[in-house]
Order: sequence, then C-alpha cells, then structure tokens
Amino acid sequence: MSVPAASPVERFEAPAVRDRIVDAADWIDGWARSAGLSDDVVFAMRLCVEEAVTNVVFYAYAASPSEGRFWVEAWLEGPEARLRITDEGAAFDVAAAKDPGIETDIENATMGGRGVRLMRSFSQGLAYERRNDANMLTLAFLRGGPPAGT
Amino acid sequence: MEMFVDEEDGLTKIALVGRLDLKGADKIDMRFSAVAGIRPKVAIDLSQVDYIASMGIRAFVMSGKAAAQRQNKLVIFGAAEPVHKVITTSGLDQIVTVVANWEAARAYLA
Repeated sequence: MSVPAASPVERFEAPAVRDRIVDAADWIDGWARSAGLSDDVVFAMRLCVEEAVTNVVFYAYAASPSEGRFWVEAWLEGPEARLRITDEGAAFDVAAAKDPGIETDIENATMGGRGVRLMRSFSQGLAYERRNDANMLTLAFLRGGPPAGT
Repeated sequence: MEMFVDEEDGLTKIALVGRLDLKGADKIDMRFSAVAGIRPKVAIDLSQVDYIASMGIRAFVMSGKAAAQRQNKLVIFGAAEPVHKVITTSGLDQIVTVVANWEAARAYLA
C-alpha cells in the first residue's frame, strides 16, 4: 500500500481516567493501520500510547482535585510517523527520566517503572516539552522501517 | 483476553489468548493470580498473545513473586516477536524464567 508523504494532524481527546487508556491505544491502532503502516510500527505506536497515557492517568493528575484530560495526536511527516501525548497535569519530563535499570531478583522486583524503558526502545526517539502548563511528549517512528526496539 | 487452564502430569499449563493490555490484565487478574501464584509447577503459554504492555508484564511479576515465596516453579514460553521483545526490554526474562517452547518449559518444570 502506498502512503502519503505527509498527513494532517488527527486528534483523540478523553478524560484522564483508567477506562480510557485502552480507548486511546485502540484509536492510535486504527489511525496507524489506516495510514498503511507496518504491523511492527502499529504495535510500537499502540504500546507507546498505552504506556504514556497510563503514566498520565496514574501520575500526572494524582495531586489534582479535578479530573484532567489528555490528548493524543498523530501525523505523518517525511519518513516518520509521529505522535504526541499532551496533558495538563504535574510537570514530568519523561524523556529525561532516569532508567532504574534491569532487575535480577524477583523477590525485590518493583511492580512498575518499565513503561518509559519500553517507550524509549520501541520508538525512534522521545522529545519532551513543557508549554503553557502542559506536558507534551512527542515520539517518532520510522514508517515501515526496521522493527522498533532493535 | 481469554485464559485456559490445563492440568497435565502434575504441571499446570495456562494458555493466554489475545491482547494483554490493561483491559486484558484486568480481565484475567483474579483467576490468573489464583492459579499462577499458587500451583507448584506452572507454565504460561504466550504463543497466542499478540500484544503485551507493561500492565501485562506486571501480572507476571506478581505471579513470579508469589511463586518464589512458595518456592514454586513458574516458566513462561511461546512468546513470538514483538511480544518477546517487550519481555526482554522490560527485563521480565531476568526475574522470571522464559523459554522458547512447551518442550523446554516442561523440561524446566520436571
């Protein structure tokens, strides 16, 4: 299937609640398939949206008295497919977050903390920006290129 | 996400089918924990899982902890790419035994 060189930005918006995490993943899955991207890229984009939105839902608005929202945007640009996750919660620079490292002891293993590592591995790059009191995380994926995470 | 449990020669085989995302992990949560964390010899078949996210990895870490506390044996097998890549990237294979197929899983549990 041929794909266009560039595409307009398409957007998904929802309340930052647990039930909408998989809805966002379903949305990017549908967008990526309709854009003609390979199964590996669809998988990578779906995974990164689920991990990023999970962080937003569980952490970004944890101290907020009211329900927040999040936005997922996706577009094609040259050789890449890109997506951006935006929230108005507490500032958190995912791109600069320290990786706690691989654990080797099941008894002391932590329950979480793996999402950022997965996003780094399955995308071609993360860029974080704090703008107008919002977190904006942009991820790039090579269209139909080598499988992400290699 | 569906879950099928099969007992064979003292081994418990749990076959997971579908997408192991947050929704899938929620769906199997209680039953999976009750079986995977408690039976003495457990093999988890991921050959029919086509997607996994960190919430799925979390379910395996929980069961691995429960098995270790009881000195039970637990092994994961059958994951194909890119699910296998999520397992290695997350480091799950460093804290829970992960092998290629049922034969290797059965040999580990023997």
